[in-house]
Amino acid sequence: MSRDDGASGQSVRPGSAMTTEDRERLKADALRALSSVMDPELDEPITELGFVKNVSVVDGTVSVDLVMSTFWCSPNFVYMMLEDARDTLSRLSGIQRVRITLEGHHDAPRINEAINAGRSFLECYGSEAQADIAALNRVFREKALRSRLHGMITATAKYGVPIDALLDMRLGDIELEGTRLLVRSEGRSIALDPGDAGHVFRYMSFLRKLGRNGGPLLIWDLEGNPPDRTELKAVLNRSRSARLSLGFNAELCKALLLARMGREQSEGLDSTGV
Amino acid sequence: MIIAEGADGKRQEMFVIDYHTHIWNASRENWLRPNLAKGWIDCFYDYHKALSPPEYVWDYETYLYYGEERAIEDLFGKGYVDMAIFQPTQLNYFYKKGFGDPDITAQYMLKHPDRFVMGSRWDPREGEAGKEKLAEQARKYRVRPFHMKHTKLYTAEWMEENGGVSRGWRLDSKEAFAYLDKCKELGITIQVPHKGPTIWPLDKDAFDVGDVDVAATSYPDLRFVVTHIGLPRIEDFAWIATQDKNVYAGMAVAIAFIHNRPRYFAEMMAELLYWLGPDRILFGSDYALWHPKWIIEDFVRFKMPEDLKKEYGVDLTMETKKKILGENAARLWGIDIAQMKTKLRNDDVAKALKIKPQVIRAGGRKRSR
Repeated sequence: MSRDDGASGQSVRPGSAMTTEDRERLKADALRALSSVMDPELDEPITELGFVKNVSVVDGTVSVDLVMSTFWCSPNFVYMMLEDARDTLSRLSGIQRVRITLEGHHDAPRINEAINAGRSFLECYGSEAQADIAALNRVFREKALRSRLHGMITATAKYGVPIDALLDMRLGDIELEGTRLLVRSEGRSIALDPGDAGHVFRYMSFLRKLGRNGGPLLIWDLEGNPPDRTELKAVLNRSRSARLSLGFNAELCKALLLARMGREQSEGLDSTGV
Repeated sequence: MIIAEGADGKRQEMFVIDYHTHIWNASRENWLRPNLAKGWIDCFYDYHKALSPPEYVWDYETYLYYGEERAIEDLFGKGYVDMAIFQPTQLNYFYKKGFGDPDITAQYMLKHPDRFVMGSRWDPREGEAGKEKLAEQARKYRVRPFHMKHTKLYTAEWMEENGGVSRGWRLDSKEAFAYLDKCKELGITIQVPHKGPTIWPLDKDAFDVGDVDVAATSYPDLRFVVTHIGLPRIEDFAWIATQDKNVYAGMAVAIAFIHNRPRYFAEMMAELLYWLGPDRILFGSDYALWHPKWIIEDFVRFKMPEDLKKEYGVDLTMETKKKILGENAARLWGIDIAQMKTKLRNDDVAKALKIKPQVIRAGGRKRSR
């Protein structure tokens, strides 16, 4: 638990070709990269959720220790996050090797071995799984889309942008410059509170990640279909439910992780007699 | 029993039925596979610590095993609960004698058959033997009409199978339907599916409530109380509960947000009232995950924020609170509240613990006698 995390920057190993600055830079790169890894169930970065316990860089190897909010977190979702973390880190320049360690999970040895050997979820679980987790991932990405859609609609509604107007707009008609929202179709320029701007940004960045550069602004599924005009109210209600569900769950996970850290820390103290 | 006093000073009695309670045994000598047994109760303890007010946090040792007397005092003595419904949890893969074995739980009920409401559990992987056992439990334990009317379904239970481990089952399988048929035959009309981690096969959505939808549609005369309201799939749960009128919201876990995360609780409550209405929501503390006392006090005092009232067009009125705290469960289990009020006023538990109805003021002032 208390091995050198490289944070001090003082303890370059003898024989290491890497300078302290190199190491710090790589570590910062690694952390930045990890902040793009999302918990698919919660639609929040694993760094924000507190799942990243430790990052260290020794020579060209980056090692990441991860902990989930409970011992029982579903292996499928855990696997998605670990795979994403592994692949994202592998793409960083200057990194030769990535070592992922999941701690305190009921299936940690099996998952760690498979992730670090580059195996897929199906290869890891064999007959216990029936299909790949891509379909499940899709379900949750759609929930995330709807949750973010609700955030965007409620944020802009505060400034008098009606949902009907949003429905008529194209993706290119809305732009966010800092906290200024440029709504082109009506020739308006609105300054948003940072929180509201954040909601618009979250939705827009999701669309960008989907690879969308044009088309309707409001989309209801990953194919980019807009919601039906006659069902706008129902769409809004269901996307509100999705947002509440993700938010509630994220709140629970954070609270559980906090309780868990406290407990494990005191257990650690007990066992060393301190 | 509580006497709730509204902000207008109007008082009314509320009979409290806690649909979700345990007397578990997670003591060390009961650990069969220590890593898993400890992992299980540690996770419960983290839930307990994460959401309880600090003065209600137990020490770990007490949490492992608190026993019958403590439970009676907490639930009925301090916790305002009039009747507590057991939700047995087997877990023989983790614990030697099970975590909350129904036959052990039944012994507590037999001593207090008007206080504890007995149910059992089933698992389709137990085949014909499991059905016979269920029939025997229904025969032995239905000492009042409201006993053995429900079964807790823990679809993520681990079990030895063909020399390996099977990590769960689905409610929409042929084998599960055979059990639902058996339940109908035995008069076990309420199914309480828990949605929790990890389910087999592992690639499926662990909390997917889709299988409840299939079962609820196929068995319209059975009732399904989805415990933990399908967390974290609330939107899917709300959707199926809107379609299937025999699906109910079990508030265990969700209601515990009320103290430390009141805004989330309010949004959740508004959401449930919007989709399901006030008649299909049940109060549950999940004792000893949480103590019912603080939950009930907070719940009676809780005011739905104005913005949510406006947005959802719902309110959490005293009438609705009364339904959620007891009337909805009473209707489901066939409990006659008026009759039980009279009976429990002077039963052995009330006498031993000197239980009197307590006034809780929604105006926000502390409880008085």
